[in-house]
Amino acid sequence: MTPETLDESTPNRGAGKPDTSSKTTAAAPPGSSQKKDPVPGDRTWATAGGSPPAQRGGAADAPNQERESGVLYLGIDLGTSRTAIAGSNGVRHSFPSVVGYPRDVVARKLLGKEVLFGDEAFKKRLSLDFYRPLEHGVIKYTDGKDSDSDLAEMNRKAAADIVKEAVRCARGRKDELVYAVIGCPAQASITNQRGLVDAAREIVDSVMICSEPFAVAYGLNRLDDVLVIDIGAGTTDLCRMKGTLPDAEDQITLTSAGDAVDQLLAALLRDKCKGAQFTVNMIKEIKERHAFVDEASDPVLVDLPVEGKPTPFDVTSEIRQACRSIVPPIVDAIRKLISTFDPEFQKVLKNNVLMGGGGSQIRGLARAIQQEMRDKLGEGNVTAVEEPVYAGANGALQVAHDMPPSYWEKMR
Amino acid sequence: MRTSLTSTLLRLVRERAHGTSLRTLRREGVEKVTVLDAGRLQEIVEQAVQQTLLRRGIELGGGEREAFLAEAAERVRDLMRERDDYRARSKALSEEKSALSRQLTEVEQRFGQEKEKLETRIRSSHESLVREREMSEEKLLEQQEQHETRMREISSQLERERLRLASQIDVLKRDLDITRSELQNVRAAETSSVVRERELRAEVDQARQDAGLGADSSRVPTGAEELTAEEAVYLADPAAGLPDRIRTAVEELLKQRELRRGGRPLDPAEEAAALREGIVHLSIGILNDLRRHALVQARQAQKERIENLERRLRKLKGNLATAEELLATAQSARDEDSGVASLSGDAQGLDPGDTRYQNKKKLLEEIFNQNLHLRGLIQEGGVSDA
Repeated sequence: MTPETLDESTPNRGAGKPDTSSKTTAAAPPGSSQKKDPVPGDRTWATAGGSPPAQRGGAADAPNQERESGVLYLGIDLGTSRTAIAGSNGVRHSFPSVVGYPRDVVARKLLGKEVLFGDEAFKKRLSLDFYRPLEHGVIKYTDGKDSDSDLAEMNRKAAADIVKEAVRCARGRKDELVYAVIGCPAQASITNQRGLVDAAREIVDSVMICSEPFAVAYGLNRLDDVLVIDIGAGTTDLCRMKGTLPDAEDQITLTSAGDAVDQLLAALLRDKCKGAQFTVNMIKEIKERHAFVDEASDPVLVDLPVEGKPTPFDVTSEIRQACRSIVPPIVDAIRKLISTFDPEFQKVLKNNVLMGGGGSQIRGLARAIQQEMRDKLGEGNVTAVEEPVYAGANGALQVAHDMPPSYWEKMR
Repeated sequence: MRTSLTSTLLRLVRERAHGTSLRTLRREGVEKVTVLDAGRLQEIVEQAVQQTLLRRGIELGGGEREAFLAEAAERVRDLMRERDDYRARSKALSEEKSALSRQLTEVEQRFGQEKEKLETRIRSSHESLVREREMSEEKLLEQQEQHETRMREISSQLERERLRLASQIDVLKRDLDITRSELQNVRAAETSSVVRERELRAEVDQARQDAGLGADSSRVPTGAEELTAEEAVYLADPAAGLPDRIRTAVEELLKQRELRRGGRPLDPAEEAAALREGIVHLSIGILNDLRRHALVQARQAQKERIENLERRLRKLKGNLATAEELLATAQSARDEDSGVASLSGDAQGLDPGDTRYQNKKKLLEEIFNQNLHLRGLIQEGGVSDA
């Protein structure tokens, strides 16, 4: 731009300014006002269970005593199906643990992004190299002979991107240190724990790993004589708590979990709904909407395409059968953990079973496990946690918050 | 005296005894009863009194002994009355106890029923609250997700808009330069047309002088001036009034010829010269008007073009300013979310007032040590599941 142009254009710009500046003022507040004056009411914690640990005690009674801590504590539950995050700033978020990268230049230009997550990735998956990097609770292909393959590398990258996205969703301030605790499956290998640590270290200042069932128990302050069942998509983790950190013999990991239910349901529907076309994602959606194990239930009717035409099918018994399939293995695992426990405390343990994870949302599952326990073990009392999706993340956040600051410093 | 004591004792026993039948006794498993007759009862009492007195070293005379026995009999009666009173009170208390016990059972039953009702109500309201909360949370999450998706879309739109605006600004700047240069060209052309007009005017003046006419005193406007009402006349079609004008001029020439002749015959050479002069005058006038018409029209067109160019310039500058404002807004909007601050109402770390402080402290230490060990393995590069 020449000096002459500058001179001539200035008056016009000045003339146009009042109009545009008023628009800017109207659009600007979200960023500027939040920076100057964060409003607790804007935050997404809505329930007592969702309150950040930082609000314990007096803080809850006197919110005006809150002050910026300069450290954002995060609890992350990196699940096979969903990733949940809870932050000490009150932000909580969960999204499907899937990642997509545009397949080519055209897709990249069309999507306008280098990487897509969660539901958005699901919707655009035909234009993407689509990854669901976790399987059976750990990063795919990172154990065993495929650990050096390109596939393993891509899955590691996808997992790292999910962790980054989760941290981004926590909406921490740029000037805050971020200390995170990631919950991992009870029996995750060291290699997998390393994968998670490597993924997180790129974006957080300090990170620690802890067992997911332990995190659930810690978050609920149930550390003694309680048996935690965490029913995820890839695995069901069982862990008995005895007031100490659980050992290997205190934990059992089963693959009878959400994915297994999906596979069985798909097989049952293939037999029942002749000619119907469906994908695993459709099955998952049907399950998430209608899952139950009760005897009495309203009929479940779903529309599935048959030669392109949506056709209604009654899938009530198939859903019940698929969902019930996880009950016997879980009760068998409970029996193993109880029978090897101190006989004096077996009764207490049987009557203190806590169930969490996305799978615990199956309607009537707690009652079904309880009944099966009574049949096989004589007695049993199963309680479903109130926030199955966030129980792990809340517990990990509690661990993060309770961890002495000096420990965090040493882990940097 | 002996008979009196015996009869008293018998009366007392009768009064306080209760009747029963042999059948009843048999039913209760009693097969044999011990019988104590009145004489034996009196002997026992007298014997007991005598022995008591002897143990205490008191030997009573006949009268004293009788009086003593009478008092003792009275005492026995008192004692039996007391016993009867105690029995009656005991019975009343027992009945009261039974009534209270019944009341307690009823209260317990009512309490149990109320408790069950309350528990059912609490359970159902808890379930409904949990359902409501789940629904509201789901809704909240859905809204949040929608908001974030929308934010991402907006961000992406803003980026696209930014690129579009940047490219539009380039185009606008180019157009602006082109329009400016066009305007300069037009102004230069206008200047050259004024020069050309002056040259033409000089040529016309020269022609007028050559024809023996005076210089044209009418003023020719420059391109920069506004048109006067007189000049505006020249915007009309010059050919429209030409026949009338020629006719009027010819009639004028003929009238002047008649005036010049004054009833005498004219010299043909003089007449021809006058006619030629009149025709030249008329022709120059017409040419002059045509020239004026052309000049005024050119000037008007030039003026309109300049105005048009200036309007375009103004519009381009306005668009450029708007585009630059939008670009600035888009750039600032790209990172408008500065995040949510982490807040703390108390000190970080484990709460010393926690009832499980020691236990939790130990657990946290173990978690830390495990992570430290893992970190050590990672740094050494020796991670292996073995």
